[in-house]
Amino acid sequence: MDTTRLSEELLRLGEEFRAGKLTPEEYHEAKKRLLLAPENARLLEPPPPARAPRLEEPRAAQAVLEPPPLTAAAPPRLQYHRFTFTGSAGEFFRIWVVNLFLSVVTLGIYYAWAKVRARQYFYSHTFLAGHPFEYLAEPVHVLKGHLIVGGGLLAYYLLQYFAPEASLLLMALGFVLLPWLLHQSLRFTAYNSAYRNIRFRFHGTLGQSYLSYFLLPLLTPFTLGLLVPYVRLRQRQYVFGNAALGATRAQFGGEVGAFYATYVVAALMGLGVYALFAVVLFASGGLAVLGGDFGPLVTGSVFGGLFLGYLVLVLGMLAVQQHIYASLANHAWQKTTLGKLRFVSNLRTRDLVWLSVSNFLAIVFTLGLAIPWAKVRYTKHVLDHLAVVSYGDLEEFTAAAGKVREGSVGEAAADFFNIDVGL
Amino acid sequence: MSDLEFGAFYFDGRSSRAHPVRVRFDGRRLRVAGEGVSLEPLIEHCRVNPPLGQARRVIRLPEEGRLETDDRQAVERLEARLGLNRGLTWVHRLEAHWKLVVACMVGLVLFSWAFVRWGLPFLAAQAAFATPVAVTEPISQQALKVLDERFLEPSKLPPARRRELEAAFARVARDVGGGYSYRLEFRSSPKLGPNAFALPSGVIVFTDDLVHLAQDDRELVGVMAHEVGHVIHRHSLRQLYQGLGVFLMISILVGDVTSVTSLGASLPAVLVNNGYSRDFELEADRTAGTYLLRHYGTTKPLQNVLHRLTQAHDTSLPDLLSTHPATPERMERLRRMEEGEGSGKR
Repeated sequence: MDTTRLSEELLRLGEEFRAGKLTPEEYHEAKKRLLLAPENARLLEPPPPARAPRLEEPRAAQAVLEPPPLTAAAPPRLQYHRFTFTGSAGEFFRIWVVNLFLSVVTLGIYYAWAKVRARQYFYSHTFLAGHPFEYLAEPVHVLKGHLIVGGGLLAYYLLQYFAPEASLLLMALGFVLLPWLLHQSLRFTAYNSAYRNIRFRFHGTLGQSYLSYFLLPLLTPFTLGLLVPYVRLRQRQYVFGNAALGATRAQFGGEVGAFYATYVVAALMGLGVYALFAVVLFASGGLAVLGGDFGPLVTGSVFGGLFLGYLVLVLGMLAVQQHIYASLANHAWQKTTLGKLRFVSNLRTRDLVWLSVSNFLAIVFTLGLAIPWAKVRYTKHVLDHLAVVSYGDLEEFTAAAGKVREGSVGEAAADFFNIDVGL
Repeated sequence: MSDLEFGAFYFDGRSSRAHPVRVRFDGRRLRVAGEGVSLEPLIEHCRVNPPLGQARRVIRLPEEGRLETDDRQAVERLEARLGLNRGLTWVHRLEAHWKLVVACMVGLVLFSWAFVRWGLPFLAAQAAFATPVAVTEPISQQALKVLDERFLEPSKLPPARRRELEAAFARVARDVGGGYSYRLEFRSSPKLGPNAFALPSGVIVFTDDLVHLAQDDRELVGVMAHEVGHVIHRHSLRQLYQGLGVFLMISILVGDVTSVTSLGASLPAVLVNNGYSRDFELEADRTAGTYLLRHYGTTKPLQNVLHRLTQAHDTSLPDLLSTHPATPERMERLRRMEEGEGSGKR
């Protein structure tokens, strides 16, 4: 299949979908089949721009797939854009070291600037259709959040010694406040992220946050964990479905079935891992028995078996975890629309497992010096596997009315405690 | 100024449309011109975003406008001419050169080491002396409760013996003073052996084994004065705050406070396992030495009990990692204190 054929196919699918001849599921499936087929993926990839496109030819990287007009009344152009990450590990390493140095020398004050700078680095090197994203948070504003959360944390430490009961109370308060902090953090991050000078927005309500991150997780144990996939769906619904680029609201159509399917596969994988673990242990035990009185063989096979078993367990569980991540991320992106944009995400479990393992080993063996390299590598990988298909170009987004001055406490808390939005 | 002309994209902040434009700085205004775009904002109404690596430069215009350009040199010249972003341009230069980055790494290690060595002890002492004594009551009670649960049992010493020592302790406490609610407690502890420790509020705990180990009550008076020395110099609080400081610093370095949050209250651990730093022990020894010299004219009793304590502990656990200063050094210092007193130096 050549480029022209492929674009015609895609256009035809879009037409049929909009004419109601295809259900959304059929449409997504067909589109995915087309776009992800190896021979087509090659056709779709624009030549990877190692650097940002030169300004002399601003449109060069944009119109990648321009189909010939089919009729006199030209249908909207179908475009395919890959996310590209242009940052380099060496450059980010230098920024990271200087950030760390200045943060420590200023006794933590510079940490707010460091945080903003690191994030700006990743945003400004993430390109879509020729233009980068932008992180707009004011370091001074971020510093205020850090001071408030840091003060609370210090109070917690000191209370631990002077009034342990009060410190428990403070911790409980923290848990109750978690959905509020999360809500704050999502609003802050969205409002301070922009693409082509249009700020993102987050429209989720506080009530929904308490439902998805407090009440439902609280109910989970009573359902023996059977509620977990549903809770994950609600959390993604909350994060994806309430996002907006300017005045354009995102739509999230994630399906319960897909979430449960992911977790069923994960459970089967988990069982497989344990079975393999048991087999390894039995085999090494059997070897030990066969070895009889030969001491070294016995201890060797027992310890070798334990080591191998442990390795199987750790890698296996990592694979289960990454399967859940990849599968849910792919599904969520696939089912998200933003105006005329649709997303294609094709992360693979085995790539992510390899990435995590090699990043972890690199960080351990360099005593942490490889952290910036690992971050750049991971970001690059994820963005390389994310793309946008749009009907029409990306120039038609409009800003939302009004300004938002979001509190930075939630963002600081999310940063300090690694609060997880369940993505 | 023809040298300050560059190509850019202009975004008006209302739509996502990118307008290719030429930008020229005439010394007062940024003249932005392109298809359907013609703007001339005064430069003081514009904001040049600080440089960051090889990323595109951004200039914010009034009314939400934004320029985006790859011509970093032009923007740098603009900054230099107007003296903008001095602080972060300096940071940007640090980040651009490998040699400076290596210097930063060395600086990071040196600074961290110096801070832990001198800065933290100083700050911890300030904080410890600023802590009201009343606040240390609950922490001491809590620590004693934990120690009672894990290491201590009720004392088996005869009440008459205890009263004798309590009377001696009252004299030491009165003499050293400091406004603490001093109290001497006795506990039996097969786990800890001969031992003594001081809680920040002024409660001092002796183990039965320590009382048995002493051959002379003056030795026990020496230990009491040593422990009271820990109290008046607020060593336990200072140790606590220093530990806190180290953990906070590590958390900045590692960028994750969560790992630190799970650390439990560590005062009992400080008292039982780690012991005090060398400087703290020597400081407490000086308090004890001064008291002994004033009342008995010699520091021998403390030297003797220290010697015997080392022997008693050496047989049970050779604590190689202990931060206790070597007993010979402490004994040597006490001896010199006595000689100094004798020759009239002090």
